[in-house]
Amino acid sequence: MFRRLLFKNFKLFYRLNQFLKYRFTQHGLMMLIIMITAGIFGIDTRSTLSFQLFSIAFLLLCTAFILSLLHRKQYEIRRILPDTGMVGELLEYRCIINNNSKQTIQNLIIIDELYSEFPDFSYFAKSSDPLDKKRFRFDRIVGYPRLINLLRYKRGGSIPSVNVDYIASHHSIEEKIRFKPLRRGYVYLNKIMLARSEPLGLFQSIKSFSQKDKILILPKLYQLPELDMIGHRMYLSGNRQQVSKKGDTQEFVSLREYRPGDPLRAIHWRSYARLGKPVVKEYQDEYQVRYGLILDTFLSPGNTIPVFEEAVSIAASFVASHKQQDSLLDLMFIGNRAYRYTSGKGHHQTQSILEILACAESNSENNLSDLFALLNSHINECCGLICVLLEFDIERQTFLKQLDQLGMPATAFIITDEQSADINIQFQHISPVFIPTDNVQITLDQLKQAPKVAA
Amino acid sequence: MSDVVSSRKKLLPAPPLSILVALLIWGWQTDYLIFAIVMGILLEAYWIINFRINFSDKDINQIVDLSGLLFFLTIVYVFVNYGANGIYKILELLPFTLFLILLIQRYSPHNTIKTSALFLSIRRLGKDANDELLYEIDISMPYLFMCLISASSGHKENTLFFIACAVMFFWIGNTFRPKHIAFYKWALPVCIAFLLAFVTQTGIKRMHSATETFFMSLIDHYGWRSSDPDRKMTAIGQLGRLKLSDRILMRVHTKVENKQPVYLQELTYSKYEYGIWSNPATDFNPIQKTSNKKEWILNRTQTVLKSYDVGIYMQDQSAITAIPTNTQSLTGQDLVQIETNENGVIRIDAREGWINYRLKTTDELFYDGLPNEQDSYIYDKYKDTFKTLADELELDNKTHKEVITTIQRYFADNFYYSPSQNQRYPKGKYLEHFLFDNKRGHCEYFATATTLLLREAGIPARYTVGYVMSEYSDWEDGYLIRGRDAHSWVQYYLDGKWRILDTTPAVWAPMESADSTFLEPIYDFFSWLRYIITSEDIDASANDDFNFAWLLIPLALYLIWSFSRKERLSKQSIGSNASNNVEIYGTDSPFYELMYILEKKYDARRPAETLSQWIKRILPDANQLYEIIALHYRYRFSLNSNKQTARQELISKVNEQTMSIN
Repeated sequence: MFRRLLFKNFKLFYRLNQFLKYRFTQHGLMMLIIMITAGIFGIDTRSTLSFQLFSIAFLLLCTAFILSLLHRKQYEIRRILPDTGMVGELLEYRCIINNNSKQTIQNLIIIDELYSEFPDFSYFAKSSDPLDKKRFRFDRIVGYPRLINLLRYKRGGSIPSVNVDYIASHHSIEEKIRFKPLRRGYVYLNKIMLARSEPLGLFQSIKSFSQKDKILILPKLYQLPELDMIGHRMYLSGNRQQVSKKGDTQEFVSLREYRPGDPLRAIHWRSYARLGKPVVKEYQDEYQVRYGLILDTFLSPGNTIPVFEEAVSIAASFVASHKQQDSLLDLMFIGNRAYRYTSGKGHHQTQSILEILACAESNSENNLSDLFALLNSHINECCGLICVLLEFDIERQTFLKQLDQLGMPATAFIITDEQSADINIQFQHISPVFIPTDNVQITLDQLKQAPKVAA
Repeated sequence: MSDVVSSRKKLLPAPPLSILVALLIWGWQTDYLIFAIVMGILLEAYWIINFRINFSDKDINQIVDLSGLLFFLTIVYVFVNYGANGIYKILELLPFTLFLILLIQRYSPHNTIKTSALFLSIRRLGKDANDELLYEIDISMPYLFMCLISASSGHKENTLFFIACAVMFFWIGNTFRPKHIAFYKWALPVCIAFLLAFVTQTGIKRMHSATETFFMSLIDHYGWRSSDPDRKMTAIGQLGRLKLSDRILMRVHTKVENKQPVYLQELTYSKYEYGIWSNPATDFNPIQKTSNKKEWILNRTQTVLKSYDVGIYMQDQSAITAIPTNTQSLTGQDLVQIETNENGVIRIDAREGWINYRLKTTDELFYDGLPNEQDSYIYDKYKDTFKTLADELELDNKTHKEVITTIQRYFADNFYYSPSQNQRYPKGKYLEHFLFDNKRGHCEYFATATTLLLREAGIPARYTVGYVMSEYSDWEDGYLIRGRDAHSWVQYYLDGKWRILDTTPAVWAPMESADSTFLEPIYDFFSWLRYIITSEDIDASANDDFNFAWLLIPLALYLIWSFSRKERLSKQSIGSNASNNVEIYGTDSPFYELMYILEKKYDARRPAETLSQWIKRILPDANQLYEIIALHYRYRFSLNSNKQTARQELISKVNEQTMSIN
């Protein structure tokens, strides 16, 4: 009850905070603080003269507000956005501002914003923030810093405002805006605003333009080592359809007698002429290397979102580094249903798989049995597996044991918040690799030095 | 919902000399002018002094923490000494407490302070703090305005202070005027705002006066308890439960055990009408103190019965105090003046806060004034009531001593103590209902009724208020007198003496104390702590005062010593990339000086040319330079080597090489 009440106040407080950020300049905010402080101390006019400071600050702010109403100009703005960005990498887009008025415009500020719904109380109550460990108990109990971080994360980042010094009359200019996306998936842009300070430099008049846009943010990618993928080639039925080129790419093996049904173009005419009976060319059956990439999406209550994000990033790194002409890669995970996407040799392009991964979400319900069922149904098509797991708990250990019993060579990347983990279980076909969330790249780099790491 | 990152313009630094001027205004208003000049010069010398001290983040954090600690101690000290009014004293002292932070900012290379230094919550986040939380700010302008707000607590010159503030706002405001706005376009609205502000501040003051007058009149009519020697409003006729404060007002230490409660008289009143006791206006006259001693004799009787060491909390520098009616003398270093009026009320002048004095009692009352007409006066509206009661008790046929006994017995046998009054009666009928109907009430009903009944019986009597000393504290080894020990009783004049008569059932004190809050021991502990810290020994001489400000001297010496050990940077060398010098350790390698000399003397280093290649090109045989380069790389990039040792070695080798080149 108390927390719910606090949450309602947070909403109000947050809105007030946003209003102050939009409407006041830094000096205007300082003037507001002076006014409030002087007002508090000046209540008793017999004890202090603070009421004089209050009246000066109050009247300056009132004057600034009135002046801000008088300075309305005609201008418009539009964005030119890229299709995708990447988590943690600067994303740049352009804004074009047209000055339609007869006067020049100076000291304009572009305020663009990422948009998300304000979380409801149940969502907020369930959310966790790794930074809470470092916060004061009061902050943890009250939860406002957590809410602000949550909002920031839901939005996908914060866009810094950009100053425009000068736009001539009936001219347009182009400004670049850069921001660093905090999360993968779609980030939404709602309204874009142009703010302009009034003559006193305390208050800002704001003109907002509603422009709904979205950008897909791809997962963060790591540099993967050249993994020596042990496994075995295997015959794939229907391979011809999966080959992108025809003719020369088929490898000649031997000649044999014609059998009904052999294509005419396979007849070796010289041998036919020499032997007097039809002889056909025999080609080697198509063998391919096909790997399965298993992404664990079950985020148990004790686990944290960064662990899942790192897991997605590592999976995406495998997809990105996959050489499409050499092999096939099956991405398998459980979302609201079982998903299996294949990349390489005429299937999905890497970009498409990365987009799918960008929108993959964690699941709080145990779906490891579904994941195993999905894997089991396709295990015969794979020659090696890469598993990205979120934990090394009993459920995952059972999962890996089952996998081990299938005899499929696999490497299990286990993402963990901890620096090191003890492996008490011995696997016959699986090589577990623990990757701490705060040291992912270094751990991956160290894999280069290990002789045969992957499946 | 949306978010905006504040990449807007940051707070500008205060213009040169503005901090000094703000501090001078503060010093002028608060009488800290000397300090203000010294502090102002130290802060403004920043513009002239050519070196900066390379404070690390840790140093700055420590200084901010130290300032926070000083601020906290100031709050404790001020609240202990000044009570609730201390808030204005804290406001007055703010420029002192935050001075160190601005000083360290001014003499640090960047002239800014990280938000992590100022806010512990951000500091705890460390590297995880995002850009919206962790950034660098210049606190000079907030400090400047804080000085002005602090100056307002001085309350010396109304109009001049307003003008000074307006000039400061104009001066500082001009610095954040948008560049494209012409000065006159900015100045005109600002001046209009100042004019309106002047009118507004006058209005605020008048509005405050009018509001205060209105509420004071309300309190005067409906409030309860005050120490006005001329007028006393009782709670007679008020509905609800009477609740008095548990706060400790006095502490009394005595070596003699008191078997009976001691009555400490504060005020006496003679005229009663509709719940208000009053006196004709009286003047206070000072009592002459004994020469060479801080002792005031109230009663010339030489016999001393008991001696009490009294600690009393002074809300103001002058207060009416409660003392036993048989007081012989008052002694104490804290006492400045003692006055009395014709009703025997004692007013003492002393400093604010807890003070101590010694009180001696004798067997005679110090007040021997004769009763006057007012002491026999009964308001017409009550005459019938008390006549009826006097007839019922047949007081006419009894001697005065018998009257006293009869009245005492009458109240003891027929009445009950009750702090509550739940029935509403017509104005002036409360005493009648108390006497004839419900026969229960609190001490004011008993004392008022007794006073008027005695007068009806022909005995001059006065309504008396004060405190009863009965609660003994083992912890403090003395008696405690709380707000709830306030009591009223009667003084009557018989056989040439004023005597005390208390007809309130004795159960009143336990009933009041039973209602105390469970937090009382905690309040008592803090009250005792405050008393121990702030009160001075009765027998201490005035010269024993210890000024705690002296404790700051070792602190200042430590800071000077600590700062002097820091590396100094010249202002010019800091440049715009000053932050990198501190952030990336090793970029201050002495090799760069040598490189500069070599480039001037021989040839500049080409793009993408390594240091070794460059040296090989310009000085192929200078083997020692390769050693210096290796040392430079070690200092610049190695994480494991001892940086300080490498630096020292590098400096000596670079110096040698520089000498040989020159």
